[in-house]
Amino acid sequence: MAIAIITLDAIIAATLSAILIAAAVDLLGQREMEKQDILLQYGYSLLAASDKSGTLAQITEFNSSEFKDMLQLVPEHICIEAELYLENGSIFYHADNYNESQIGKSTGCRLNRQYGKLPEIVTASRTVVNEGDIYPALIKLWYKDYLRESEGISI
Amino acid sequence: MMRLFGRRKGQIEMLDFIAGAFIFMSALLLVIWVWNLSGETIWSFEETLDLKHRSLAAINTLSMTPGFPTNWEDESNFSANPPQAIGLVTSAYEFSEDKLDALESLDYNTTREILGLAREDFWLGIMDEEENVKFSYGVPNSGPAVLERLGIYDGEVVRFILALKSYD
Repeated sequence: MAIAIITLDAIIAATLSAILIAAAVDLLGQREMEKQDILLQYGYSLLAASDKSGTLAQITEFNSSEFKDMLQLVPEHICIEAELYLENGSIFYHADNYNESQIGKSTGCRLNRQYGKLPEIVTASRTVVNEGDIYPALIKLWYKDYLRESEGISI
Repeated sequence: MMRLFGRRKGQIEMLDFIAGAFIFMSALLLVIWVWNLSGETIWSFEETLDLKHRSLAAINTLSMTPGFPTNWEDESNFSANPPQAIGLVTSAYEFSEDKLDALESLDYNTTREILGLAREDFWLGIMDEEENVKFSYGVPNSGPAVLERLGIYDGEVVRFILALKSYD
């Protein structure tokens, strides 16, 4: 009888512990999702602004200077890669905000890929049409590590 | 000997009880301490999350919708008939000079209520590539929550910033 009661206690304790752990994991997951969602919304504003201002169309005409200027506006703690494709899927254009040769500053985003945990990358896309040609545009964004751990809200 | 043994047995039970009570109280205090600590963390997280949701809703309304009524900027008497929703764009991320001018003539507290930010101080700003402030409204140096979008204003790509400071 005593063993039966102890077993029942153990089962109840284990169930309650499992519920608490599951709730904590869910909360952490939710927090990560919120941060990724904010980043994604920022990415879509970047794509919309660059498309509506004609900056993406300029790239298809081999002039990417304005788009590179625009990438300078992206906050320091955000890493970004942008690519335009041809209709056959091959890459037409690539730019990022961490390659020194691209926009003149190195932000250290590459370190994320060499050491430790890989960053959570979000992607946003938009189709650019210029003079009847279609160019799918894709951007990838991720936070630098130091921001991933902060509690602040940004972007 | 039996009496002595009996007394000793009683003393051992008392010692058991004291030790048990001590362990139980220690465990209870530990649980209460962890509960309070977790409670504070969770409460702080929930507050941050709430602020995040309200600020996201506000920046999306401002930068992606024309507001309601859509021509709210044409209203001459804002105090008598304030807009129901404030949007600053003609289409998503294309900021309208007229709507920005109209916002400047709106009372700050009214704007806070319409944006659903009655518990915060906020600052709205538009900055160009050279970091020149092209538009400013609200309380400067608000923070620490800062939300940002890229958009088009006056023919150029700009940063649209919403900074919030919670009273809570």
